[in-house]
Amino acid sequence: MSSEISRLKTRNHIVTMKKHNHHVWYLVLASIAVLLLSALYVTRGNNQVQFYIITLFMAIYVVWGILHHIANNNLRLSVVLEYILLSATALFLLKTVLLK
Amino acid sequence: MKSFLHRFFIPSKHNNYRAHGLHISSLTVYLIGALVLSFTYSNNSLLTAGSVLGIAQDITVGALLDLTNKQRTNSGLPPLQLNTQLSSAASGKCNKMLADNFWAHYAPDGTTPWYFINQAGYKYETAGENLAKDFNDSNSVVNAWMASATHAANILNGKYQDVGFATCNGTLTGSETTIVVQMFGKPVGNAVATSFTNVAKAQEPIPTSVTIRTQPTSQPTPEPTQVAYISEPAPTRSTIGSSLQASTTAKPGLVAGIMRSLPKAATFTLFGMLLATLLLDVYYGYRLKAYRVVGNHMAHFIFVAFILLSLLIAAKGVIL
Repeated sequence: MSSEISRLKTRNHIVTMKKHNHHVWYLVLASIAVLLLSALYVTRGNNQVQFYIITLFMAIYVVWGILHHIANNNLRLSVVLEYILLSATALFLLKTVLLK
Repeated sequence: MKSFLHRFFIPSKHNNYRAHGLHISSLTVYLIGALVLSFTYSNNSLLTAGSVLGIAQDITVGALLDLTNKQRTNSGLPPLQLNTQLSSAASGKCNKMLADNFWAHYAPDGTTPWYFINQAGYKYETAGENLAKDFNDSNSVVNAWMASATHAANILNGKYQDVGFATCNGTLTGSETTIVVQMFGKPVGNAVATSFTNVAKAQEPIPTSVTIRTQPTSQPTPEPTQVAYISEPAPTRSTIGSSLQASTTAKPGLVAGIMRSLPKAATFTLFGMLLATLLLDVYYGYRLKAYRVVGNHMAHFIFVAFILLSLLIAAKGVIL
């Protein structure tokens, strides 16, 4: 009985830790997004710099995705492609908007 | 059609429990579409062919003057007179910004706004400057100025008697844009017949985003050229690379207007649709208890939110 409780506690502990880790991952990405959005606001009027800022976020997003999936042991080629395709699409569209 | 939409947005056994709009094949199609759009817009020769595209704004000197004076009369101030010398000074400033590729009141080589006013032969007691770029119409320009305390202070400054405008199209910091320059002035020795005339002391220039410059009153009194308000200037089509168009109008054609707003609309539409697809995918995936090895949904939400907010921040007219 005592061993069962201990196992449950341990399991709960692991689950809690995993959730906590996820939150840290999301917090990091969201913080970077907010920081770069602030940079976009500050650099209003300079589309070239704004494009560099957006490119930086795209790169961070792909790297973040790969590292996150490595940490969760579920990295697949299709997952990497998903991040790259989304980023590249956004990049080309925003390039057209900003540097047309 | 219903079946297609269902597969596109909602995960089920027919789409391997993942909304088809988020499949690698769909994401590849989005990328190809973005590439085609980007290539089309980056190739100026395609855009300017037959003058279909190019920079075309509905910004007119007449409308800018009208709207500026409307704001002044609403505040009980006398309307400003359109002055050709100030318009010429504004044109000089506009040209300089495009030629030297800068967006500021003061040029990188130290040239001040007052230099252009002096060059145009306008002897001022007090002068000021408002700048705007990336706007599509006169109303948005004046509204943006009025929303900024420092710019509104220039428009609602009782000292000013004259105003000059210039708009110019060209490439600035890597992007094709339309710049609007508004220059205010009070000629030396001219008394203002309003309750706001008790401003006689010379002031030093204020180094803020909107600057007010006052020259000593000891200079010889000039005879500033006043011109009548041009209510309807002749429309002129502006094209990429054209330099300067003080006192001219550029009205967009329907095709040009659509083509100009297409990239922004396409980005909003695609990422709005992706957001909806993600939400439906998460909701139905959770209901179906489907385990999928796919990209992280929360990360994708943050990403899409970043893109949509970037569009709101970056693709907007700016004032200085």
